[in-house]
Parts: sequence; structure tokens; C-alpha cells
Amino acid sequence: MLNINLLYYLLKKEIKSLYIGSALGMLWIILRPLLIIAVFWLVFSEIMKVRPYAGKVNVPYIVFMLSTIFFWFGFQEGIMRASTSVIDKGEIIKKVYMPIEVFPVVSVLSSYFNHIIGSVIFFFVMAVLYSPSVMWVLVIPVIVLQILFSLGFGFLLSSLAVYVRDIPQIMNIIMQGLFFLTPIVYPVDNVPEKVRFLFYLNPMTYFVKTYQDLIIFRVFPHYLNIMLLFVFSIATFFIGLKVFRKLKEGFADVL
Amino acid sequence: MIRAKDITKIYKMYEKPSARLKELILKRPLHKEFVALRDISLSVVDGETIGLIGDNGAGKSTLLKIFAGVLRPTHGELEIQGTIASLLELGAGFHPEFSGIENIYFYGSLLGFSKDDIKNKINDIIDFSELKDFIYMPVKIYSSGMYVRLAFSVAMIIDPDVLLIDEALSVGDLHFQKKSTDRILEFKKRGKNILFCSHSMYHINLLCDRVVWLKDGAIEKVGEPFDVTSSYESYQRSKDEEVLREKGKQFYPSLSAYIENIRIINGDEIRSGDTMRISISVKTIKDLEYGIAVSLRRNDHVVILTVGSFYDNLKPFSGDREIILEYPNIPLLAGTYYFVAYLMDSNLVNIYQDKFSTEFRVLKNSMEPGLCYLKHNWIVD
Repeated sequence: MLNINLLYYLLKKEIKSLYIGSALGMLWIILRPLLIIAVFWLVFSEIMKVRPYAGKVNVPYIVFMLSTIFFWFGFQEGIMRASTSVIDKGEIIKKVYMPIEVFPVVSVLSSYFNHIIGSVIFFFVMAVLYSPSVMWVLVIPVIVLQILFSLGFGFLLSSLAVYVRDIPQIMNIIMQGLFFLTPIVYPVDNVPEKVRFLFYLNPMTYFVKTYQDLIIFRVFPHYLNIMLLFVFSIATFFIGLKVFRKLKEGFADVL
Repeated sequence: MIRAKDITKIYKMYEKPSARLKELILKRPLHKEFVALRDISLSVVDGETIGLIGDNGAGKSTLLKIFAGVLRPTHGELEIQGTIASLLELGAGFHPEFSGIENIYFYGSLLGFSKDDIKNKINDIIDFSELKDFIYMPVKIYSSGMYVRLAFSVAMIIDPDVLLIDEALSVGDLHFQKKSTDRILEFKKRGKNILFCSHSMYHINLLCDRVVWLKDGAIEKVGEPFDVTSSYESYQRSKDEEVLREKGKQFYPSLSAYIENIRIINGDEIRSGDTMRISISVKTIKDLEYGIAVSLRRNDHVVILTVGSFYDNLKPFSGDREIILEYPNIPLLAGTYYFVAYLMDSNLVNIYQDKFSTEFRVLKNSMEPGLCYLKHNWIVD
């Protein structure tokens, strides 16, 4: 069973350890995403001249990108940290009986916490520069679904990684590729028809498009899209948890 | 209360961890089996302290880990009532990056305590551990002694119903050992269970109500502490003897003389004050002169006395013969003992051979604890 005291304690500790510690460490947390954002802006907006949804709605490139990139950062970092979370805690897992599930959960939740701060700042600036929209409130349940999806994925990878130690490295590459198959730095409309199906094979595309509907277009997303997100988030969560619970029986033997 | 029935742990040994998944998918066996525990059944009533002894690799730690819930038995049933705390392999699983205090919260919340519960106990824990300012440092810089002190303090003050201890006691300094032994005894008095594994027969005899001797993953003997520990010590000694014999073959490939037999004429049970005789028969292959030495030892290998024919100014022996050594009015106290006979050349340079006798027991006929009786007088006015 998941132990709430333990989860709360570890989560607080994890978030604290990222923000306290060295002064420079704190700086990096802010600087790293800013640098990545600056590079993407330079490449896609200034060099490639991507003009998202030109003719449909008038939105600066930077607003388009920032509307979804923080959610991706949370996803990517959460998955990467979750995938090594069980291996890293091997020494403890071998010695104490404990709900091992907390480790991937802490990795995913703390990563989202860090990046959602960026997103909150974005919404504030948007509200001042433009005007707030009721639709923005609906972003919250979608993030909850995305976190559930990440947790499921995190359970799956963290438990498999105990047996196949290359998984974190493989995931590192896959995540880099997946980023460019998600319409974050360019809209899916700009993608040639021939390869567009690749985007629709990527679950993150559905999340990102939903955020764009809510934040940029300020419209209610298509109900099928919502249904889809709902079903596969919850399914991924439970499948991941089930696999994790099955595989964890052997953790102490393998670690 | 603990009830274990037919606990068996079989490790599947794979060449690499991924072979485990491959096997799962291909349904083709890719492993070798290693039986770490075989049909262990054990019932422990409330308040009972159980000692686990055995050679390295006999399965003691595996059994404790199964009781702790860290490992899952391959088959068998296990029922444990109450909360369990374990001190496995030097102080449980602390988080190396966390400070001592943070680890107390971590461990406490692991066992299901809320922050407030732990807050109430934290000063007691820190006091008991005597870690002072180190409590604010990450535990990765702790010495092994400090680690155990913290682990022990947390485990005792959290006050579980069942405490599992793996070799932890031997690490702290003497002061802390005494303090923790007192705590364990007090813990025991309150009707809690302790499972305790150690190579210190002294601690085992002191703390345990019952001792389990594990050998190659199976229970070799269960029973009264003194009874089981002395059987175990005898077994250890026979293993030593085997090693020595192997060595003997290496060092003296061509024996010119050997001890054919060493026999205790009184049999294997004597009383303090008996006259003891042992007989040593020597065979010679070449014509040579030799001397005999005999060492009397307790079964924990403490040498009580070594006598030699040359110390007693006897002329060297020669030829095949039987030599009788007599100890009149032997002052040994209750315990298990044995002799070792040495066959040496007349210059006392070479030991041709050493041979161990069977063990004998000295039965208890007085109250004094110790090794042997010494004459004494009390001078009082």
C-alpha cells in the first residue's frame, strides 16, 4: 500500500533538496530551461521562421511554445528520473520492507512541481498582457491526467530498468526524438501530411493539442480527444502499476 | 508471535539481469538454481528471543530478510503478528544523502508513524544514539559504529513488536554494546520477540532462549542455547581439523613417524577432580628419535596447558610405542574440552604431525564459573 506519510516526507525532501543546497544549483534549475527555450526560439522562430497557425489566430511564436513546453519538461524529466529511481534506491530496497512504489512517484511528482512553476509564471504574464480565459481552468484536469499517464509510464520503466539496465539510456534517446514528434516547437499543421501520422502515434501529441486548444484558441477541445486522454491515462497508470507490482517481487533478488 | 512453515528460498542465478526477462518471455529456462533455505519451520512465542548461528552463507541473513519482508520466500508460509523493525547488515537502510535527523523521519514514516509521533520521540532517539552534532550530517559520512548506533536507537525507540538483528551488536564500542544489550534485555522482558544472528556465542548464550543452527540452508539443530552452541563449536573444530589434516599432507608428504591414535581412557564424560589418562600411540616408519607434546584446550580453542616430554626432561622416545599421560585430580570446571597431541623431532624443530582427540565433557559439580579450579583462601578477620 502507498504510505502517505512517507510519500509526503520524501516528496518534500526531494523538492527541498533541489532548491536548497548550493546557490548555483538553484540558478541552474532556472537557467537550464531558459537556455533551452532561447535556443528553440532562435532556431524555430528566427531561423526557420515558423509562424504557428498563421492566418487562423495571431499568436507570437514564443507564446505558442511556452504554452506547452513546461508540461513537456515535467514529463521528460519525470520519466527520466523515474526510470532510474528504483535502481538508485537498491541499497534501501534490499534492506527495508517498504512500499517501493513511492520512488517513481516521488520522481514524477517532484519533476512536475519544478516545471509547473514555470507554467504558472507564463499564465500570469499572459493574463496581464492579454486577458485571462475561463478555459485555462480546464488545463488543471488535463495536467492531472498527464501526471497519471507519466506515473504509469514511470512505474513501467522503473521496474523494467531493474532487469534491463540499459533502459534509462535508451529512454534518453527516445525522449529526445519524441520531443520533435510532439507539436511543441512547431504546430502539427506545419508537418507534411506524409509524416503527420507519427505525431498521432505519440500520446503526448494529444495532451499538447489539448493545451493549445485551451490556452491559445481558448476553445473546448473535441470531446473525442478528451475521452481518449482520459482512457489511456488511466489505463497506462493501472497497467504500469500492475507491472510494477508483479516485477517488484524480484527486486531484492536482482538489485 | 512468529510462525514460519516450510520456508524455502531458491535463487535463480542468471548470467545477467536481462536473462530473467528473456526467460519470462521465451518460457525457456535460462537459470541455475541455488537453494539458500530449505524447509525452515519455526514457531516463536511472545517474549522469546531466538538466536541464529551458522557459517557464512548458511542462510542466516536470507532468513532474517524473509522475516523482515524484504525477500519473498520461494514457497512456504510466514505469519508475523505486530510491527517489525530490522537492523539488517549494519543499520537498516538509511538514505545516505539524508542527515541523521532526516533519516529518523524517513524511517519513522516508513514504519507508518506520523510526523508528530516522531517529533515526540526524536529527542530520546538522539540522546540514546549519542551522535550529538553528527545527527545533522548526512549519514554517508558516518562511521560504521555511528551508523549502528543510529539504527539501533531508532529501532528501539520506535518500539516494534518484533526486532530482527543481524550482526549489528558487534559493531558499536563496548559502552554502546553494553547499553544496547541492556535495552534488548529490557525489551525482552516486556514480552517482545527478538531474532538475532551473531557469530558471538557469548552474546547468543547471554540473550537467547532458543538457538537455531543453520547449515547449508537447513536447520541442523534447535534447542537450548548452550547445547546448540557447543555442538556448533565442535563442528567448527572438526572443520578446522580437516583443514589441518589437508595442510599436514602438504607439509609432510613423507611421514617418517605418525600418531596412530589418541584416546581418552576415561571416556567422554568426567568430573572435576577425576584422575584423567590419555593414551597416545605412535608408529615409526624410519628409525628416529621423537618427543610428544599434548595441548589441553577448551572447545573454543582456548589453550589451558601444553605439556611436553622434553619440558619434563624425558629422554627422546624411539620405535613404535604407546605413551600414557596422566593428569591426577584434574581441576577443570564444567565445559567441553579436547586434546591435541604433537609428534616432534628430538630437536623440537619439526612437528611431524598433530592429532586431535575426541571431545570430552566435564560435568558440573560446583557453582563456580570459569575454566579451572584454583586453590584459594579468603583472609577475613
